[in-house]
Amino acid sequence: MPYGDPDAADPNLLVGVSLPGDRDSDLEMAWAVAEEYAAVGYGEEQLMRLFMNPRFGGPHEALRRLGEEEVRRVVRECVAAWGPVRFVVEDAPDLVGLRLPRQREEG
Amino acid sequence: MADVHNWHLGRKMAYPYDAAYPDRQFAFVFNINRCIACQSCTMACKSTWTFSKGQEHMWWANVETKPYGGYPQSWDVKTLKLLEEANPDGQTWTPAGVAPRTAPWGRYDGQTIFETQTATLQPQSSRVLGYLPTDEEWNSPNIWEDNPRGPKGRRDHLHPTGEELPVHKTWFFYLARICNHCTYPACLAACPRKAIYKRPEDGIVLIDQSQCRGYRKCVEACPYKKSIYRGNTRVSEKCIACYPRVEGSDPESGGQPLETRCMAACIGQIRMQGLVKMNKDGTWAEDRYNPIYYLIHVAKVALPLYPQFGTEPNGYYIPPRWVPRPYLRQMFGPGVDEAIERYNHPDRELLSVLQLFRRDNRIIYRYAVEQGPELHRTTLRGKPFVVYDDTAIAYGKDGRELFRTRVEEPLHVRPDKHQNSI
Repeated sequence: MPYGDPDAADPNLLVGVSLPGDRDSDLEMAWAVAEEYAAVGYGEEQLMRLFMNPRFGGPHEALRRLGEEEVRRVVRECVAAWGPVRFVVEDAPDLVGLRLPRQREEG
Repeated sequence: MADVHNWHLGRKMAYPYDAAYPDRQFAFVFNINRCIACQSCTMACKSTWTFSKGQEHMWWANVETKPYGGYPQSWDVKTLKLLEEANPDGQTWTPAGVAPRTAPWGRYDGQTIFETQTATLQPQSSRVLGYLPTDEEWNSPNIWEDNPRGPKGRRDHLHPTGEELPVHKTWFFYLARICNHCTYPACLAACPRKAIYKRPEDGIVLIDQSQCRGYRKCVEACPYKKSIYRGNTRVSEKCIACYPRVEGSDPESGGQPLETRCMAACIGQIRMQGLVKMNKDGTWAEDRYNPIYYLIHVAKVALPLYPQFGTEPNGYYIPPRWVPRPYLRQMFGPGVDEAIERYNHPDRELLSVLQLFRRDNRIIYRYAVEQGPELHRTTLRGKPFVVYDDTAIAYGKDGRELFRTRVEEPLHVRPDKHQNSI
């Protein structure tokens, strides 16, 4: 079976079954995605583009169900909470933060 | 059967052997909210331990998509079904009687896999409720998970309206798994040869290869299906928690206990592993500034996987926030709502401790937080939210500082003169 098509008669084969999701879980999806991406430096417009991309199934489903206005409100709040990201233009300093095994002997 | 106390369940539980607890217990926390299923952990483990002939189907560490996937396929659905058949509608919890370290999530009223023997065990000599997965269920991890859908037979061509297909609709998440090195291992309980043992120094569960005869009772009994049979040696094998690293005897470690290979390889920084102190009664000893203890007993953001199985697994998960709660309560028990609430609104200390994930490969025994200036204040999900630039400091086994990291980690950008210097 694993190398062929799924056996539709297999009761344990959940692939392709649509599971119930509700508005609450879509809202949670929007919050989680917006928070995580805001924390790594995404801005409002970058995040909105992510939600509008149909290939990001979960966020896009949330956008379609919640509407752009609601998602933008969530995005703005997350960007305000987790930004602004501080950029430092420099080579990463040695032996600060991450200590790699090769460097450990020197420390 | 002996009576042992299972603090996940908040009650005594039947187990084939008397209680015996290690001095410290191997334990880990995975933050599912950040797992991207890159499989770096999977491949780190594979390339270290299971690259030999006869181990092709064997993945001690794996990442599967939920609710659809599983390795072996449908492992959790099948075990839950067995429990349900043995004890219909009995998998319930009573919130009353919550106690900090002996019953943090109330009391489980249903039967565990050790307590269903009268009803369903076949043959009667079996000690643990379980099933033996078929070869087909083992041999294709991740099949049909996350498949981008396209017209059949046309390579690299996606369906033009892929988002409308009824696949992974609304929600899914990635579940990273290794052996949970359970406090009450089902594999150990089921082995007729007593070939499986739990180490007294760190609670790691191992199979003695010289004693194993490949009866596969452990494979059948482990509800997480992390004991796996190897056909060409005719014995079973399982995750060994990279014990040379945890001992500090790995040449790379310089004598310092290291986290396992799967932890060290995690590029999503979702994993932290440690060794927690144990009391004589099997509960965790108070160790307020051990990050694993803090995340589970103080911040209460991390929960065991399927606690109702009864093995007291030592793998803990920060649950994915967007998943419908009934599914999460089934998977992680009744602590889900509180865990998500706390993770959604992290206090000052939790925000600092979350920065400790994967800044170093050495095991953190203690942390401290140095308070820094306020960065900004706003509202998050309707509640006030203040971010401080605190510094989290990690200490190793010998009490020496391993590293320090700040809440606001600057993003380092390579300067122009070095843009192409690699």
